[in-house]
Amino acid sequence: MKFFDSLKSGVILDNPVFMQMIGLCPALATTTSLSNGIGMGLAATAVLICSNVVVSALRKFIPDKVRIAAFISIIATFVTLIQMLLKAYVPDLAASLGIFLPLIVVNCVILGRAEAYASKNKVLPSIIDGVVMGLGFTFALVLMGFFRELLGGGTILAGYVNGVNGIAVPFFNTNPMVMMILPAGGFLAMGFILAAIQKIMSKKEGK
Amino acid sequence: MNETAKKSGAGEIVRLIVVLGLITLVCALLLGVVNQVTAPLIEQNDIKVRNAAMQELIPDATSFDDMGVSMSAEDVAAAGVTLPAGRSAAAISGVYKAVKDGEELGYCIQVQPKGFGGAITMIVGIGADGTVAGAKVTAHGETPGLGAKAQTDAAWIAQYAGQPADGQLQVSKDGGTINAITGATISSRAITDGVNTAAQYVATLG
Repeated sequence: MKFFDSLKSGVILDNPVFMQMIGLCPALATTTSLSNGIGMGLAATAVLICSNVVVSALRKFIPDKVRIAAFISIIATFVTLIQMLLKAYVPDLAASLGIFLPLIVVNCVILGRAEAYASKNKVLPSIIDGVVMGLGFTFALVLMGFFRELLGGGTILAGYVNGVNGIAVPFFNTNPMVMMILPAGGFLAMGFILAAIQKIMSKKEGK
Repeated sequence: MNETAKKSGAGEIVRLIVVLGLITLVCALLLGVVNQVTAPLIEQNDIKVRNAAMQELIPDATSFDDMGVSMSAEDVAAAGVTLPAGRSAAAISGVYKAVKDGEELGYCIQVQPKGFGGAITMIVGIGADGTVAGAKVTAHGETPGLGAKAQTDAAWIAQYAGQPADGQLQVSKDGGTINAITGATISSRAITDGVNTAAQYVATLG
């Protein structure tokens, strides 16, 4: 039950991207399609869980003054390890994740959770925190990727389903707003989604 | 925080150095070990991808002989590769001779033209008959949904196949015959540079 409470908080009430406003850079840069959003979200979640475990286990050993340097070393090591292992054993997945893996090093969701949660809590709660925050991050990226791909390219899940073409959506497919998959479209999608969420939340509070 | 303030001084500094040193040492060791294990596998995978791409470009070839060539863009230009006005030669990171039963079918050249998002790695097949056999992008950093189509859109890249290998191809915007990808003229020009560089380089081989 407690897990579902934290899941709800991680994905919705305390969503890293939409509520805490962290990890915006990858959220804007990599959500040009739904499949990119899913890939980046899950890769970041894997690193987040690993780094939370290690940071939490070492929390009494790492001095306060050098904690950021220590966290970054740990995160960068995990990212590089995962990148090497994927390239060696699952080259197809490594090729489709491409530029996203190295980007995870500077993903502030991961550093943020290490700093705000894992460095102050025991290992098990830190794992749960990693899972729920990772899922929250993935959810945000999926939402952005879905709308940007639909409006900008007129497809759904290009790259995963039906080869590179994805599922073509009538009307959107013939009238693509190319701007939505350019950087400006990332800011637009983010703005509209934030506005919609604020609207829903304020209704719920009965204002 | 008070506790660390009290302990400040030489002892505290040594502790910081030792702890951070230990953490980075363990990280470095882990990375070193995993790199030792994975590096040969990664290299094999890269060779496999490259061979598959070359086989696709020149399907009749039974082997691809590595000529051991690797040149910077400046070296390539100095070797006599001249592209249409305003465009410059790309770096060459591999030259492979396509052979079948001792007969030379052409060359596969791995070139790295500069695209919109850094170097694009691509393989260009040049047939012995003086035409472009085809091109294939193997790695790139182009914009997803735009320049990235150079890799994913098979129909687009197919227009290079059968073009004369004279190194004078240009996108239609510059007065040539190559249709650029919509919204990705820079990427299209880069791919065209790559094909031209490969064609001209093969011509210098004689």
